[in-house]
Amino acid sequence: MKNVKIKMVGLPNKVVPNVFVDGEFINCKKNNFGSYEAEIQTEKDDIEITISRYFELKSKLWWLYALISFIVSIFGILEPPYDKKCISINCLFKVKLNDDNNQITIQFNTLKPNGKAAILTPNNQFEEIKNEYFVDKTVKVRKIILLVIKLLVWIGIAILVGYFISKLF
Amino acid sequence: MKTQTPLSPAKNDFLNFLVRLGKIFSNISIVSLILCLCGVLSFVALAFIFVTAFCVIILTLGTIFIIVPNFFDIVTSSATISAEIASFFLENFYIFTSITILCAIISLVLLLLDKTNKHTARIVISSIVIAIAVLFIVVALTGVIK
Repeated sequence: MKNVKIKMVGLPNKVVPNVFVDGEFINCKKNNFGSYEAEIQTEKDDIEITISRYFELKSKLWWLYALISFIVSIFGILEPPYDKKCISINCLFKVKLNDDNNQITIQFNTLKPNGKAAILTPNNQFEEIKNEYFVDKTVKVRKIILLVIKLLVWIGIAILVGYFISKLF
Repeated sequence: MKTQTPLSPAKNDFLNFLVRLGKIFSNISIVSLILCLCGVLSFVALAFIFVTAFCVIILTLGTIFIIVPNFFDIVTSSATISAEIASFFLENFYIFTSITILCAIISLVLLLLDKTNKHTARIVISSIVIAIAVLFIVVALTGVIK
């Protein structure tokens, strides 16, 4: 059994990575120094590591989650904001494993709309298939849809508030 | 060309949604604690009026001055209103304190569900909010707040 430790360094505070090894989702944990760590065991000689960014607005039930959040947070007033720039990660590395312990450190670059996302520093041989930052258009469109709906609701509330204040005084 | 990245499992999405709800409940508990304070300290109630008035102006995009022409006078003559608001919050003191404690506890539970990130700051804030709210109740039960 081969032990593989994946460490992701340099990710901004708000960025939560989704890590997949050979297509299987791996839970990672943030350590005290702000890096994410994951550990897996495998029998294979090489593995495929895919890293993307977790977005609330990318899940299958995003509309339901957004609706519940909006209502619970008193019409979005007390809601934590969604990410503004919607910059995502698209990394795919093929790594050849050693017989014993394998420590793979992925150093991420500063978040920007395009360009190389990360530098891989393993002790193993690796092949870089995809490695880029990109603006996730799906998330951006969904964010705009939500913003429009919120604005409409807020205008409705504003009219109601104005009406009730005029009735009160 | 649209870049496709793999989606996280539904269970993970749901857990992250719960964490988001935890943050919302943490915010609600803080606001609710401020409302409790409004009842105890009338100057906080005065500040509450000004903040509410400011929110109304922003929400109505300034049209409140057309809808209610004497809106500015109402806000400036807020001394009497602040006393009314303070008494309202004082009357419903236990309701607001209960909401504060309940929301803070829910937020604590939900934030602790996150195995990926540690929300130390929020957890500490929620704990402090619970402590203050409990202190308020103890003070109220001793008869200082009526």
